[in-house]
Amino acid sequence: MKYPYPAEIIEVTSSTTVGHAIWLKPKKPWDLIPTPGQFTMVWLPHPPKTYDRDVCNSIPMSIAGWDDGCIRITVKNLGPTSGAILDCQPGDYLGLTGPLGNGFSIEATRPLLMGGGVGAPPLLFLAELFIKKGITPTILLGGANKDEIFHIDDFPGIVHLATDDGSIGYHGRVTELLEKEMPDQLYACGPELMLATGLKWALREQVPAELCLERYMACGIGLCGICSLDEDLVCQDGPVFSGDKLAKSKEFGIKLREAGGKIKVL
Amino acid sequence: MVNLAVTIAGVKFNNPILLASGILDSTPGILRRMSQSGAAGLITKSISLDGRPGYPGPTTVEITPGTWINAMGLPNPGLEDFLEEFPLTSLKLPIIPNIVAETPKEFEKLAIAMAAAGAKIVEINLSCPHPKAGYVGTLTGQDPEAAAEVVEAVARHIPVIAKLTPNVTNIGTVAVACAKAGATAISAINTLAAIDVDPELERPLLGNSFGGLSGSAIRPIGLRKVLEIVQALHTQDLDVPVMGIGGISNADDVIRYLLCGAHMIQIGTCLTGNPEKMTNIKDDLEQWMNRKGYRELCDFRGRILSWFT
Repeated sequence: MKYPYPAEIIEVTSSTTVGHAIWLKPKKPWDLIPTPGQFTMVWLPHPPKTYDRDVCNSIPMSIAGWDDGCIRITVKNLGPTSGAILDCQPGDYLGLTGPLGNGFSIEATRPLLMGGGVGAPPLLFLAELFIKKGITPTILLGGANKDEIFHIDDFPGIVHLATDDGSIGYHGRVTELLEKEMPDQLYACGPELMLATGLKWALREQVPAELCLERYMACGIGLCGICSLDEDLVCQDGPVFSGDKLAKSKEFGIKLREAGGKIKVL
Repeated sequence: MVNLAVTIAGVKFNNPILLASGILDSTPGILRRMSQSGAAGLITKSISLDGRPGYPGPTTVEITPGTWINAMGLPNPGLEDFLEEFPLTSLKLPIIPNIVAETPKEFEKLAIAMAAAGAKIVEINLSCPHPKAGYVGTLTGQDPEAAAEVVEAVARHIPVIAKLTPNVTNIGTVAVACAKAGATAISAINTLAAIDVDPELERPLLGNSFGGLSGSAIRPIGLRKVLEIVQALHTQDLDVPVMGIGGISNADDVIRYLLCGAHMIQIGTCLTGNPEKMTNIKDDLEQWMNRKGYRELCDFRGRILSWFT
């Protein structure tokens, strides 16, 4: 059932100065084991101390890990609700609806994972699954600066970093690191313009790609249609789409929608 | 051969199934997709003059399998943005804009714009707050006079379907008032006023606290309200078709509404997670009519009414 079941915060780990990873234990175990790329609607049901009720909302977040029924989400302060969630403590409750949407396939033998900013968390979950399968993924992580790169120390596999300000790793865009790689599959999550650049590279190099998209979601469960990308619902047909499909899109990398369905040109 | 066609206000629908307002109808892309879903026409998300962002979440929760509580808060980009992005005549099937406003004047503005944009018929959402003083907390559709005033204002410019709220003592009275004011059709029911509570979190389940119930559980209530509307219209000799809405998820449910006297039906909630479902429903309805030897919908429409006299 698409219900925001209560889940207790059992651990908060500071991953960077701009966000935390939070482990949650749902009171009613999830019916399905999530795959990386799937998401959950995260409900902040009560404001933490010093906050008003109007921070309470339900927002989509990638599932960043799964361990024996517990769910990891990685939260960045991107608005009033996510900011307030960062002030929640172990023992507090959130509501989780999920797992929702379609995740990544996990069939590559030479996987390349590329994450930008808060797009990295679902790729951490993906990298952990590849390692469990005995496959070492190559991971490219980018961000504006060192603090904007999530899970720097958590990723298994071969990790290359890039920052816009050069504070760590390569000084430049993470997509510029693609040129040296020869994977059999690209998995990417992050800002849409980064994804669009990554897709161009993948099409040119004939590397199959799976890209995980972000959209404003009002319901998250395929009812309202506001997250639509062309004729697809990102919440239900995505959020992971094949590169081939996105290459034909009239909206990907060009425009998206905000609350109420208002168009925002990228 | 079975003929499923229905004509309302001169608009021909190939079958009696419409996409209900509020579900999978908020963007041009998803409307394009739903135009292939088997529905004979699409009713859009409620469009207001100015855009609305909608309420905080949770906006939509399944509280028991197939039954949902929601409070979306009428999210929409606003009239101008909506029309700019979505030419109403761009699809092969009829698009029925649903409009919502706080005063008859605003409703009229929306109606004029929709008619100018090529709409042949609009649906009005009367489940909006009553604008008159003294009616605080009341919906326009709960006051027959106020509802009629809106219908009259809109009907001056375009044929109008009045979508009624079930949260009234006597829905027949409201339907009759709307029909007398010039409504081309009556659609019912909108969601049932509801709240739900999470016992562990000790708070209302919806971001907006208040909400509306839809899905399987409300079907028998929708049937009863449609029956009451059909009876009330008959009593007054008002020949106004009714569109049944509420908990329809298969052809049997469609048939139930038609047997209660509905001309058409609208499907919404059950499409969550399965937008392509209406094709099957249409095929199953056709099969049932074949098996029963019916050739037209009017062969069995309203067949059970005599049980309720």
